[in-house]
Amino acid sequence: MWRYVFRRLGQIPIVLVVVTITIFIVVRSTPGDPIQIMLGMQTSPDAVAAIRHEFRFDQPLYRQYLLWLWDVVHGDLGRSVRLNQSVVSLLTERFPVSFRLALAAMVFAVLVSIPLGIISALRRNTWVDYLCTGVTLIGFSIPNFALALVLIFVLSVKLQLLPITGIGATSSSLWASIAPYVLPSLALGMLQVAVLTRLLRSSMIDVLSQDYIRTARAKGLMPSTVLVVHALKNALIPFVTMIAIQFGYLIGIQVTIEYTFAIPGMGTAILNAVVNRDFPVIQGFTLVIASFFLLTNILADILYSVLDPRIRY
Amino acid sequence: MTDTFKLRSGPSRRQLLQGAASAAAALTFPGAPAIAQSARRDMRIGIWGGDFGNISPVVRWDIQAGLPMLNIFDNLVRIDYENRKIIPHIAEEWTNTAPDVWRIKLREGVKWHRGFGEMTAEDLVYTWRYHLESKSFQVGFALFALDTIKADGKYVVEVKTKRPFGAFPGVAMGYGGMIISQNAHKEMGNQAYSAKPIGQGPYMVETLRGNELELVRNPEYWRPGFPKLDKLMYRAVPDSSVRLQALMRGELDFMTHPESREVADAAKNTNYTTVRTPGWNWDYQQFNLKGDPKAPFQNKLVRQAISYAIDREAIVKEIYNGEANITDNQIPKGYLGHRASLQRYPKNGDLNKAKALMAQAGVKGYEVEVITSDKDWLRRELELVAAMVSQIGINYKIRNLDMGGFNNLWLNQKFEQHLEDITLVAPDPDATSWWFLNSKGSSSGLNNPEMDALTDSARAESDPEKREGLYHQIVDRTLEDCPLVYHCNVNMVQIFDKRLTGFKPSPQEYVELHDATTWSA
Repeated sequence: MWRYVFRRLGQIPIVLVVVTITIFIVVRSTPGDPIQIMLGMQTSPDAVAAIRHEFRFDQPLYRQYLLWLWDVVHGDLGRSVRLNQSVVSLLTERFPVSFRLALAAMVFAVLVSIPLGIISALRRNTWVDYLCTGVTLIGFSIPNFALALVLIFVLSVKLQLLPITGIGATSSSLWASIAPYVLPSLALGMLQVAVLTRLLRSSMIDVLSQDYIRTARAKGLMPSTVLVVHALKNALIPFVTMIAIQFGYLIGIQVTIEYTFAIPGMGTAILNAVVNRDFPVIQGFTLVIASFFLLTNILADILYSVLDPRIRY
Repeated sequence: MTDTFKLRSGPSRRQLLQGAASAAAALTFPGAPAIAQSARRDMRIGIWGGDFGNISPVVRWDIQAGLPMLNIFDNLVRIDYENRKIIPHIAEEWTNTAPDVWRIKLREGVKWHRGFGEMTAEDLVYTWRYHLESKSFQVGFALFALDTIKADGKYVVEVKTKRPFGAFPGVAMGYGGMIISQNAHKEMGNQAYSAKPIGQGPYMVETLRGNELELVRNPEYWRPGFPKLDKLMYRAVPDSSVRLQALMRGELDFMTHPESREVADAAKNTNYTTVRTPGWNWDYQQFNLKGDPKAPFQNKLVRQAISYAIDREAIVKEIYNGEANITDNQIPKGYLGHRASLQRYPKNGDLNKAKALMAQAGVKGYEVEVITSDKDWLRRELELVAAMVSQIGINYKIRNLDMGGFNNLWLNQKFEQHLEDITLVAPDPDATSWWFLNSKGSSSGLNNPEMDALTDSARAESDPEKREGLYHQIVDRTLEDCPLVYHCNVNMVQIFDKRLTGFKPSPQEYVELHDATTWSA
């Protein structure tokens, strides 16, 4: 397996080079000059030229890319045109916020999807099953920003239960630190609830129809033992690997949630960078998100192998 | 032996799990020092935008950074909006000793934050030279006229301008008048100074983390009794509705930039104060007169027809829910040179006159691409305006662009016509006219020698009365030539807890001073 892992790790730089070249070309072919946007209309051509030179935007595209790549290899992701801050320090500030939010959303998704998946598998084609799959339908069909607004209206404005903003802010207690994460996590994690519930339901249905489950029942084992020890343990294999994949995905899809809840994460940083054509930030953040996604995928493969001894790479 | 003294081999599994959960939570969601809510010596302010960007005056800053910055840095001058005067602040006085020489006397005893000593003439010289040498954005906007700067003693600075520049107090000292500490800037470096600048204003930067900026009272502030509060907490909340809901829930005490549709309801809530001030901004259309010479809008009669076809009152009602003031010219209320907001074009337009002008121009109708940015209200406004001008046979092909794309076309003059809003930054009518109407202006499509002479003279003249007359002529000329069609000035609105007192609003978008804001007893 380790050979497989090392081979996959070895592929990462190649994938990242392809991703970064693509982003490099796409952002630079988008209309809009970051320097002109930053300096505004009432500025001299000399000032524009000086700053363009400072950020190497006056060099040929391939050279810009190679110089950027060289810096990346040496741990330097460049400097934000708009924020006058290094991309690394911006990432250090923003990544933990996004990571915590993704983690909280995934915890919510797991806690909800496991009981929903089991119940709907056990009560297949009954009203309970339809109710559970109906919940997943909501997760699939409501965009997370719309769900966010509904949650704000109900839980914050009407019931006054939870704060709307406050992630990244100073706070007086542990609860005051955690509370602002609740609504964004629910809004962000609802899609994962749907994905994971459906997956667990089908996996459980599959496992419950296996011969060894019938044997376990025939041996007179307690139904709960059959369910948890024999069925759920095996049904969770694809579920766990999907968690790893979805976690990587969660880091990259937070933009609307961050915007709605005023969260200083990677999503808002990228959004502002795109609007201002802040190329170094777009490139640096894309590189990190892509790397994270690739690593979680490799983790999923490893987990799959660890959980299911039949799988060998 | 009681249970208290029972010896156990170790913690129970439950205790372990609880401990692990607490430790994980504490690590994952680190707590921070509490905000003193009960004392109410603090104020939490929700502003727009996703972050603050730079908060240093010598690096390009955004409007949302200006809101806290002017509480960190005292400007050389302030504006008496009611009496339309530029008044001394940390510049005690200034004199125009020759047409191109200005002597500025700084106030004595003004201290920089955190022990960086007294502000002197050397700091002003350093700041303005830094702008010039680094070719900063302020050179374009505010300091373009500066030639040489030198200190004359500890508190006097003498500035020579490239040519006579009557707008110097408003433009250079007003918009370009935030001074940095030479010692602090050199010691910290430009990047660190941008994140935690040393000012001399009523509040000092304590922390800047992501979308939250904490300012604390400057104990050595030069104005006795100010500021009134100990702490300002700024939080950038991009969505206006969320900002308002956070205010209503008590997560914020003060908010800026509500959407116009939310203002009327908020104003009815007796727990909050809603302040509206006609803003120094425009919603306007601009024609690219340097573009295709055969375009029908090159004919000023067509441009006048468009201006007559616009029902400005409908725009204010439909798009801004009444939170704007109709105008047909470039000088908003509060600027030198302002007369009435409507000088020539009726508030509901005049379709007959518009059609007559089209006939006089010999233009039956045409199609033109009109660009705007991705602001929701501008998209709707452009659709409304397109419906209005369709009545005189003009078909607006609307093209929405994101802000970066719009700026690219606008700044490089690669458009036929656009509709946008703009905030006027410098407190001098020069900022409303020269850049847009003088043939050398970077956003001007006009090439009219008469207008050039007028805008150059008004820029050079230092006598306010003469300048006022010149700006009246400039406005009249603008309304005749119609290179831009102005729709309205949108209100600056703040909503805040009714127990807050002392806040004085401003028509300038980036000016929200909180030195006098406090909680009522």
